[in-house]
Amino acid sequence: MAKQHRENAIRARKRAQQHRHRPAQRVKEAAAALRSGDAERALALATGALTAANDPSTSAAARHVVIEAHFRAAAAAMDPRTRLHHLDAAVQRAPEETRLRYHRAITLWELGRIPEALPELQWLETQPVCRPGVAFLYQLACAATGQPWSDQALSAAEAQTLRVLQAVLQGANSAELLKQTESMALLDKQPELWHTLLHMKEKPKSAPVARLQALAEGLAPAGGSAVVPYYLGVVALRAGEMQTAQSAWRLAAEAGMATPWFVENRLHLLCAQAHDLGQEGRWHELIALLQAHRLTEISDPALTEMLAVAHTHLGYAAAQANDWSTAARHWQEAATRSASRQLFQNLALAREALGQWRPAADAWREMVRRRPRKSDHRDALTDAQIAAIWRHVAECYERVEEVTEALTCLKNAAKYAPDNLELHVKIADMSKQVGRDEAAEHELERLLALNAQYVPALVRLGALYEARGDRDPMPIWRRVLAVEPHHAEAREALAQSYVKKVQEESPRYGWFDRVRRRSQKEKVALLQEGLRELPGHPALLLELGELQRAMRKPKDACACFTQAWEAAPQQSSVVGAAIHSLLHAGGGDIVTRLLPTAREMPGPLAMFWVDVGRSALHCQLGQAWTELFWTEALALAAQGRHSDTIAYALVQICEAAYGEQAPAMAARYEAQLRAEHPHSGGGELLEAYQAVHDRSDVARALRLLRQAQRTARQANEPGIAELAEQIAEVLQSPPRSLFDLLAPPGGRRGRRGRRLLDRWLDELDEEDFV
Amino acid sequence: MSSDVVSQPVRDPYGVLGLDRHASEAEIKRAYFQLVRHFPPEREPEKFRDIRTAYEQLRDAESRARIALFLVQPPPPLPKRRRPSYDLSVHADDLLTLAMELVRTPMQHDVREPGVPSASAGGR
Repeated sequence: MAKQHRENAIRARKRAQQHRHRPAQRVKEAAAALRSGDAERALALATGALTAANDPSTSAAARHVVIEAHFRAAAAAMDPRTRLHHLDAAVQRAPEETRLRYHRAITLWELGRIPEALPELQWLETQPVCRPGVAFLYQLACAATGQPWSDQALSAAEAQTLRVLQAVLQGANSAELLKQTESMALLDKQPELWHTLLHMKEKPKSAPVARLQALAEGLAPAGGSAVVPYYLGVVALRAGEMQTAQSAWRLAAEAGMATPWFVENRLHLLCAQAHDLGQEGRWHELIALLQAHRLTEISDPALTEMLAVAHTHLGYAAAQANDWSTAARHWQEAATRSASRQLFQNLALAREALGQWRPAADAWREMVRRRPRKSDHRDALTDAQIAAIWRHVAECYERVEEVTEALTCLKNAAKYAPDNLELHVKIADMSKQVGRDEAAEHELERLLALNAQYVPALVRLGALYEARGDRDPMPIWRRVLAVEPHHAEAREALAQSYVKKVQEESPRYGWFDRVRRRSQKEKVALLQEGLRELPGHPALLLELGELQRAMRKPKDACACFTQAWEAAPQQSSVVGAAIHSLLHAGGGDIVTRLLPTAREMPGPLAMFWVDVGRSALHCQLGQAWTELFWTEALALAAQGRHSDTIAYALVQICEAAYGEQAPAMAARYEAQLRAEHPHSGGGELLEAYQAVHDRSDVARALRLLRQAQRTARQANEPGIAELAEQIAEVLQSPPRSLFDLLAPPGGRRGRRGRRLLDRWLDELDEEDFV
Repeated sequence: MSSDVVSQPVRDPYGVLGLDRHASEAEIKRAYFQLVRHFPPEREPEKFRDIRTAYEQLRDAESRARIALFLVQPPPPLPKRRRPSYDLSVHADDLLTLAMELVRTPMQHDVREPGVPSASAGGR
C-alpha cells in the first residue's frame, strides 16, 4: 500500500515537472512574470519557450512575450545604450511594429545618432496610421542632418519652431532670433521656454534662472525631459549652486542625457564635490559619492587618483586602530588604482600583521618592482634597501617553508649586496637545506675568495666536508683555529677528525686494506700529533688512553684518562667516559680519588649516574661500582634538581638492572621503590615493563601504563608520567621500516639517511665479496 | 647589511620618540635626550630600552632608510584640485533634442499586455 502511494507521488512529481517544462506553460509563466514587473525573468522564460515551441500558437505567444519583455526592459532602462540594445532585439523579431521602430528612432536621436534615426522616421511617416508628431520629427531630423525639409504636413507652431531651429543650426544672430520668437507661436504650451533658452544662448550671464525653473515645473512631460533639467543645472552652476546643479543633472542623467558635454560637465562637478569631501577628510563619503554615480570604474586619472588616496587614508586609519584586515582591504583597493610603492609596502606590512606570508611576499615583490628607477627620484631605493627587502621577502617565504623561493630571493638580495658576507652564508645554509650541497660549497668558496678568514664560512665548509665525507675537513678546521685559536666548534671537530682517523678500519680494499691500516704505534703518533695541535683535548686523551690500554699499558692509559678528566671536569660526557675507561684499566683508586670533583659538576641529572652505573654493569666492572654510582644517582635525585625525583631515578635504575640481566639487583631497587614510593606510578610502570618483556602482553602493559600515568600525575611525578606516556606511544605505534629509521639523519626527505643506507649496503656487498 | 633585518611589523620609532617622519637628526637627538631624562634606565628599564632601540634605528641615515622600509607609510596628500572647465553654453543639438522631447510619445504609453497561448495549445 505504502509502496503504491510512493510510486503515485513520484509519478505526480514527474508529471508536474514535465508540465512545467512545456513551452506553453513557460509562456504563461513568462507573461505572469512580465505582469509582475520582472522583465528579465519573462525574457528568459519566453526565449526558452520560443526555441522549444513546435506549434504556431505557442510560438506566436512566446514571440509576443519576448518582444514585450524587450520593450519593457527598454522602457525601464535609464541608459539609452541599454534601451537601444533591447529595442534592436525587439525590432529584429517584429520589424513591422511601428511602436518599436518609433522608440528606436527616438533612442538613436538621444544618443546623437540622428542620421540613423532618419530612415526609421521616414518609414514611420509612410505608414497608413501615422503617430502624432512623427511628421514633425522626420522634418526635424532632415533639418538636423542638413537635408531639405518641407512644412507641408506640419502645424504652424511646428513649422515656426523648425525654422527657428534651423536658423540656430545655421548660426543665425541670436539677438534677432530672440526678437522674432517673442511674437511667434512655437511648439509647446509654453513658448517662453524657447525664448529663455535662446536668451541663455545669447546672454549667458543674465539668464533668467527662476523663469526656467518655473517653466520646467510647468512642463513635466510624462517621459521626462533630459534637456530642461540639464540647462537648469547649467544655470545653477553659473550661480555657484553646486548642490542644485548636481540634483538637476542627476534628473537629466535619469532621463537619458548622454551628450559629450553633459558627461564631461557632470564629471567635473562630481570631481569638485569629491575633492571637497576629501579636503574635509570625509573619505567614506567621497567613495560613496563616486560609487553612487558609477564613477569608480571610469578611467579618469583625477578620479582614479582621488579614489586611491581615499582608500589609502582609510587603510591608514584602520592600521592605526590595529584593524589590519580593513587596512589590507582598503590598500588592496587603492593598489588597483595607484602605482605607488609605499602603498605596496603598507599592503605587505598589513599582510604580515595578518600572518599572510605568501601575499605579503607578493606585495613586497610588487613594491620592489614599482620602485622608481631614476636614482635621483625622491622615492628611489638604494641598493642596500633593495637587498634588505629581498632578504625580508626570503624570510616571508621561509615562514611558509617555501625554501626554494626563499633561496631565489636571497640570491636577488646578493645581487644588490655582493659584498655582504653574512648574506652569502645564509645562501649557503639554505642551499644545504634544500639538498644542494654542491651549490652551498660553491657559495662558501666564493665567499672565502672575498675573505679567506671569514670564520662562519670556514666553519660551514668544514661541516659540509665532514658530512659528505669526500674531502678532508681538517685543513679547514686548522684555518679556523688560525683565525680564532679558541673556537670551540673547530677544536672539537679537529679533535674528532683525529679520533676518526685512528678509528678508521673500513675494509674498502679487502685483504690489501690490511697493508694500508695504521699500526698501533702510528695511531699513537697521530694522536700525539693531535695533542700537540690541541694540547690537553679530552677527546684525544681518552682515545690515546684506549689505545694504550689495548697495547696493555694500563698505567699510561690511566694517566691519559685522568688527564682527560682533569682537563674537562665540568663536562659530564668526558667524566662519564673517563670513569668507565679508568675502571676498565684498573684505575678504580683514581675514580675514588676524583669522585668528589664529579659531584661538583654544575648540572648533571641523576640519569648521568644511572648511565655510568649501567655501563659498569654492562661491562661487568663490579657490582660494587654500579651500586656506588646508583647511590650517587639517588643522592642527586634527593636534591630535587631539574625535576629529578627519587622514584623516577629508582624506576630508571630498575629498568637498567633488568636490561643488563641483573634481576637480583633490580628486585632490590624495585622493593625499595614500592616500599618508599608506593603511589608514584613507578610500580605500575615496572609491571608494564615486565608484562612486555616477560609475557609479551602489550594490552596489559598499556593498561598498566595508563594507570602509571594517572598515579604519577597525582603524585606529582612528571618524569614517570612522561616516561609511561612515551612507552605507551612506542607500544601503540606500528613497527617502523629500516628506511624510516634512516630518514631522520637526512632531515627533509631523508636524503642523508638514504645515502647512509647506500653506503652500508655497498660495504656489505664488499664484505660478502671478500 | 647588518643582522637587524626586520621580520615583524616594526614599532614605529618616530612614534616612540614623539617625532614626525621628517624630523632632522638634531631633533631626533634632542627628543632622545629629553625622553631619557624622563625615563632613566634605572627607574624605567623597559621604557628606556624602547627609547634606546628607537634612537638606534634613527640615529644614522642608513639605518633610518632601512627602517623606513618596514614602517607603515602615511597616506599621500589629496591631489591638487583641477580648475574645472565647464562647457555651459547652449548647444544647438540640445535644442533639437528638446523639440524632439516635446513631441515624442513616452515609452510607457506604448506598453501592451502580452499574448498568452490558449489552453488547448499543445506545445510538446
